[in-house]
Amino acid sequence: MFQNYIKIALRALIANKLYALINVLGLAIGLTIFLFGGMLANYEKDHDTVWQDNDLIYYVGSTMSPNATIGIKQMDTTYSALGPLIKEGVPEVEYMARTIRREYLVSTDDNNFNEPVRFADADLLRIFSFDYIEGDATALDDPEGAVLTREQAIKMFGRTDVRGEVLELNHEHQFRVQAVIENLPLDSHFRSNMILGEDFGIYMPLKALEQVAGWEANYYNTSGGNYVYLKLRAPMPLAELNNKLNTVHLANTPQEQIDNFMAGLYAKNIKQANAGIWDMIGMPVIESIQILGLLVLIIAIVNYTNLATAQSLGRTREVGIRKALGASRGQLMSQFLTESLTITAISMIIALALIEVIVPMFNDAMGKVMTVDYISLLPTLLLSTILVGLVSGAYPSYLITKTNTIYALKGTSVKGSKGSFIRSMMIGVQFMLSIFMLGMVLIMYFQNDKVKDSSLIFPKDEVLVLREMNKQAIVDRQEILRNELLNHPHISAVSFATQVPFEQSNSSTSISRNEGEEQAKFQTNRMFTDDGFIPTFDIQVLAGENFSRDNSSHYQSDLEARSASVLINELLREQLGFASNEEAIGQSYYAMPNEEGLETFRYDIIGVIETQNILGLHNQVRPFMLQWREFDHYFGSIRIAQGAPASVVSDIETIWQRVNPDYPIEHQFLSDIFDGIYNVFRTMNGVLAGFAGVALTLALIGLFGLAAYMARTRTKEIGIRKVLGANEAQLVKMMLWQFSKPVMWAILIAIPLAYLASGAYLNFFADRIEFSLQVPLIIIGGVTAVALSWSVIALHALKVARSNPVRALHYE
Amino acid sequence: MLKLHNLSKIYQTDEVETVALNNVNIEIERGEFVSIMGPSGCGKSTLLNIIGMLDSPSEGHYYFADHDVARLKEKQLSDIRKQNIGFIFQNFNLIDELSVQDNIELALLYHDIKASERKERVAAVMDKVGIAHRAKHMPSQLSGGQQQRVAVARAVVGDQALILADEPTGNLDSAHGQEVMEMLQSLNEEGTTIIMVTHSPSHADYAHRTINLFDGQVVTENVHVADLAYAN
Repeated sequence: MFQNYIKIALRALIANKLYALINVLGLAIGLTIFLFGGMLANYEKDHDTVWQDNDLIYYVGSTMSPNATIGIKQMDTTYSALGPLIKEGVPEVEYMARTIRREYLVSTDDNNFNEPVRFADADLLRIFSFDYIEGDATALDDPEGAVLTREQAIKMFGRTDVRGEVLELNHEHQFRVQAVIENLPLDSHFRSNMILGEDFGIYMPLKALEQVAGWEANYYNTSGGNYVYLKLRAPMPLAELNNKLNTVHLANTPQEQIDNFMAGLYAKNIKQANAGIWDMIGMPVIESIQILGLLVLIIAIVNYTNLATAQSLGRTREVGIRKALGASRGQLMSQFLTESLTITAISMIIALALIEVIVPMFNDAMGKVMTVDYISLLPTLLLSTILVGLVSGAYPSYLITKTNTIYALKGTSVKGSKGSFIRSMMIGVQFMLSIFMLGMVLIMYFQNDKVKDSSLIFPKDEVLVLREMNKQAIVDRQEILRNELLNHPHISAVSFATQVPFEQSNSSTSISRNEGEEQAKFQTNRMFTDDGFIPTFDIQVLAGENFSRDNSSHYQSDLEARSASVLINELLREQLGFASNEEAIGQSYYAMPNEEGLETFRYDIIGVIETQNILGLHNQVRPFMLQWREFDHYFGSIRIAQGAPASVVSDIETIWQRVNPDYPIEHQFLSDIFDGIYNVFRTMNGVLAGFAGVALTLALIGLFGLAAYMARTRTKEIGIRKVLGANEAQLVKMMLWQFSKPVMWAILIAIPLAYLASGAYLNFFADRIEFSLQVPLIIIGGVTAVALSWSVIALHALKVARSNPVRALHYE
Repeated sequence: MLKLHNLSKIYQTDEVETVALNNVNIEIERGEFVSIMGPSGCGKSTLLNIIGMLDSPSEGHYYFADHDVARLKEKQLSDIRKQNIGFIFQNFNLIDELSVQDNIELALLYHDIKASERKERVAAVMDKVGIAHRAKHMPSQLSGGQQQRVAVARAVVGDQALILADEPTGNLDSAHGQEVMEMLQSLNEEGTTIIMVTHSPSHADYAHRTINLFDGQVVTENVHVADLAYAN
């Protein structure tokens, strides 16, 4: 019997090739996207499984206090001082390792390299079961030891048997290679996170950083990606672990920091580290991919249902004959469900073939190592095939088998108001999803545009940014470099600073308007720079003046001094309570001392600058202060005059080579820094547009099928209307109107949904598009979806309306 | 009222050329009741469709009132049709999803008539054909005779001057057939021109004259004796 069903199913497919093709392809596309979305999400969520005992490895993250104005809700790290205290205070912790990322000039005998180095507590090697080519897990116990990955060893030495070779940091500090490990797996958090893959090839003991850079564990400095790892002795409930971590935190971290910055700690299994970046930003990107995949699949199912319903109409006679010959309704239902299952199975096979093509391409493009593991995928595949097959076949098989035998034999079409309600609902769902996605795509597009526009406040194509400027030898020759650069005819300004626009930094401090006003204090961002910053970045001074080399009080040369001149932005001026920019000039405000026994720090306002979003894309505009001081100036910025010849960049390289022969130059246009961040959002927009495109295409195919169905069921009626004098336009309008009610409902539901979702998205941006643009954009999305759909229906409707009514009337 | 001059209709498929109407000349005056008879496939329905402007001739001329139909555009045809011509079919062609009264109203829907006036006219015509008590029923709840009465009502509700009936009694038993013929006759007496295709000689007798078609040609035209008075 079953064999017979499958045979008939296949014959039915072959008999209706176009429908079969649309059905199978539609479902295959839906399934592909659904499966791929799920696989990608699993892949991103399930990293770091290669490590032994990975279920015992955790990292410590922190939740931000509501007073912390840094734009994120949590961090994937915590204060370095807490690491050893956790090890001490939580006996279940077997090993603890902190990591700090720094960049150094790393030299071998022959070569210099600018390299990121991860400084780590020695137990890092006991927490992660790295694969050793040379040496072993004791490598970092040597305070001058170093660990290289295979790739790094080959890059620096050309071979991997380099144990005992010497590495020099900044031409000052010597380390000895103690171990070489295999390249870190791509599906570990060391190598990949979804957007900012950064490769670390060198590991050195954290202890050494104390000598190299005077680093010490503290309660004020944290930076995303500087993980604090724990390895437990035995599994324990997460809640209990979190409690113990917080006990340590509350007992040791200064209250001020708990109140204003880091409210609490949490532990997460190492598998979650890869996706942690999205938790930090608070954007549920991975979940969104999964949901979008599911939505596309739903559209594909609805599509199938619509088309199958339309197609089954032509088979009422077959059903009638079968019924007359004694088939029970159950048997007929099984027959039709077997058909939909067969189609789903075929679609699934095509989907898997597509996945086999997509996954390697995706891996290549994104630097990932996703694999198609059929054994673990099998339950999902079987379950989704059966579920999709049953769900999509249920309605058409119900509908066609319920027809009365006599009507069925006569071939009278299946009708009824109930059926049309369900069909309307299906159209409604398709439209709703399509409109929702289109609206989101438009909003993201315009928001990106807005971000790009607002980035134009800085002359980003005319500023060349130098990095790694904080090495002592470079700092020592900074003034020479500045003067040499300024002598170039096409360079108009040079600045050294802790930050450049678009680079995220959350350096901030607590201040108050009046001295000792503990209650009225608030946070302001701050940046250390020099007199060149304002002209380099075209920032407008609204009142007062820029720092000046002629005025020695502007420059804080004595770090022990308890006062400094500052430029503040207009927002900070408002928050300090000055009525106007002019009024603020010459006034002062204060910061609490961060150590006992120090005097309060006084800031003297010499100028007010316009409020700009220096921190970049997804930050709110903040109160901001600029202070002129030499303080780890990581960045140098060179303003190249407009219309300068392209050779100016090579001139800069030559000058650098002359001033700093021992260090390679690291430069980049400001626009490239911006694009690096901007591209993430553009990619997201592109991905969503892809999803929306597929969804809309599927929905349109579905409507095409439905229009065919509708035209077929209404041929006679349309003929009658035509004979009675209806013209083409009236008929087309009538057929379109049939779809309009579910469409209205779809728009009504989709608009608030898209509004809420896009609102959540827009909240990530400081400079978000206006409400007055947001709603119309969603409506445009709706109108576009409706217009496209109508044009598909209208094509059919026009054909029917034009057909000779005589033929329609003889149809029965 | 209308005049067919040397009119032919040829259906062309890839292999076969079928002549449905061959050089037909017919003139029909206002107020006439004409029946068209002939064996299956002789071109009766084609002729009726051309007269009803649902189909176009391959050759020859068709003048309706003062218009040369061949020269009119689709839009103008549809205007002339809805103002002048009502149709009655063998299989009734009512819309199953609409009630009796909505089916009748459909014919007025495309004529710029106010809703209140439409209601009045529908009510009036339902009384006339004796179907008012079934106004809210769906076509499937009616007998064949009742359905055809609805169809007649729909054909005349717009005050059409010409009614084209394609075997109006073909699906009805003799009693109901009789009923419908009497209804057509009384419409004709009130001034409506009627052209009717039929297989039944007795129903053809209701007409003033019968046109016999054979293989697409007019063979004979009989003028019924009882109606000579009219012809004169």
